[in-house]
Amino acid sequence: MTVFFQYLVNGIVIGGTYSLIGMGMTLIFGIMRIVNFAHGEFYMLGAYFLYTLWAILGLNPVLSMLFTFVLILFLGIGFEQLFLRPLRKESSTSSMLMTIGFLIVLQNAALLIWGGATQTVPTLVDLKTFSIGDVVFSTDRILVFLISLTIIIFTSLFIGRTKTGRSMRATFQDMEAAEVVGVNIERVYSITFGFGAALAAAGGFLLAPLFVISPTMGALATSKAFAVVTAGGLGNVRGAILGGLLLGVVESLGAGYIASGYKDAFGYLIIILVILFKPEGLMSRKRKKGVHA
Amino acid sequence: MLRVEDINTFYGTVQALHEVSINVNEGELVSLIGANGAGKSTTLRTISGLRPPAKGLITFRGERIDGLRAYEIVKKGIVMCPEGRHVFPQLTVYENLLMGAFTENNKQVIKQSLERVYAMFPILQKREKQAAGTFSGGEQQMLAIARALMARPQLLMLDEPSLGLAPIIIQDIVRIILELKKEKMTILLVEQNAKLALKLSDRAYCLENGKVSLSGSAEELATNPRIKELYLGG
Ligand SMILES: Nc1ncnc2c1ncn2[C@@H]1O[C@H](COP(=O)(O)OP(=O)(O)O)[C@@H](O)[C@H]1O
Ligand SMILES: [Mg+2]
Repeated sequence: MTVFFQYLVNGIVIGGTYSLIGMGMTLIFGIMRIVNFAHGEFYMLGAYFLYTLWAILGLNPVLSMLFTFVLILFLGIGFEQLFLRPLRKESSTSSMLMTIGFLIVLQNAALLIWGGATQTVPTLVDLKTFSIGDVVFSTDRILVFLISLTIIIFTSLFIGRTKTGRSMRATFQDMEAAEVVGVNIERVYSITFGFGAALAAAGGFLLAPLFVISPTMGALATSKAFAVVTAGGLGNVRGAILGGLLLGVVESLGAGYIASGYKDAFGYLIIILVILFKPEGLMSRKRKKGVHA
Repeated sequence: MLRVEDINTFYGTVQALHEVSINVNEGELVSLIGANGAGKSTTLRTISGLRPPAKGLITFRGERIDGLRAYEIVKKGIVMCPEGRHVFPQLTVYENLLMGAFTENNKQVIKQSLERVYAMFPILQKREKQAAGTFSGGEQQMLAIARALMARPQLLMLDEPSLGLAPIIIQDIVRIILELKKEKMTILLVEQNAKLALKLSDRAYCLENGKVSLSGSAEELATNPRIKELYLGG
């Protein structure tokens, strides 16, 4: 039983970061109706920005994360305005192809800047462990979870309580009505894409100290984001939060009890099962969709 | 106040409006009547910036507004209540109303607007916290009008407010429109129900196949033989 709880705790820690990545993707999908294939590349950039700002330049780690979040937010906004906005009159397929372009460009830019070798990022705090019962907690993982939780709460409040968040939900529910009341929907799109990318980056900088980082690490993150978003229901933010935790726990239990080599396969298993048995997502009551806080 | 001159509007290659010209003076209630597909909604959508004209000129208080984006036109004071209501289904009534005041940043002004529409539509206050999607068609229409009023329009454009509603609900809507008219609000009303529209308005335009076929005072149109035959049931 102790082992089970240990896996559960580990899964929840990792799952919190999956929630962030999934929330970002589901927001972009819900509002812009496009799948962001470069999602994992923003995640990768999050990891490398933290690596550069903190491990290389020696900035305070929390400040480095904050900077990274803001930088990727603006990078996403810039990409949206420069490359996606001109495609608005075309079909959404064009925009999705463009995000594949982002993927290629960002991955190669990372290769060029940081090289192809994997890097490691030091743990956020002095590594200490303590146990409750026989379940071991380590300070770095607790910190990762607390920061994930903070960003999740912050995002929920942003979407649920602010005027900008309300205009995002309104645009999602009825784009034309949003225009009619005076929402600048181009602005909503830019903010959504930037914020979604920044959430992916947050997943990246939180996981960076736990794993090694490399320019190609994004591919796996994108596929996990798909799993989270499928499980939670497309466009459902609350669903993405739970979907992320679910994926983290399933991966951890699967790796522990079945085979650790297949850890990353469990996400696909979730996708397949959800699409077969509950295609509208585990969270949604039938037909009810929307960007919820 | 509003001048629309010779506008052409297209959907892809299909031309929906041909040299449409209309005028609305301050304090007037002007209606656009015409059969289904005549181009009434397209005219409103063109004025509100959702579907800019390919040709022609639109001015509001002497200022050119064609080519402006929809949100910029709302800021100028032209607000549309769209056909089919288009409330935000998963937002509460209160949130829908706040969305109506999206272009207003002064909290005090928003609060006053809210008090005003709640006084006009008491049912909305009672159901403030309910999601708009759970409302009946008539209630959604009230909410859609209330939402438009939250923007404090100088020109209010109503697209088929009576569409698909029971006669008793239409009476409520008519009462609201007359109330707004008494307050000297400038209104451009689109209605397929020509009888109703001509009863309410000062002047009217009749659209046929994307062209203005007739215009004049409401009495003139109501007594015009062609209008009588085509739209007033003989
Ligand atoms: N989104 C659209 N795409 C293509 N054609 C449209 C669209 N909306 C309207 N139309 C066409 O434009 C014409 C005018 O439509 P509309 O303005 O909606 O008429 P009305 O409001 O008077 O019923 C019609 O022939 C209609 O088929
Ligand atoms: Mg119409």
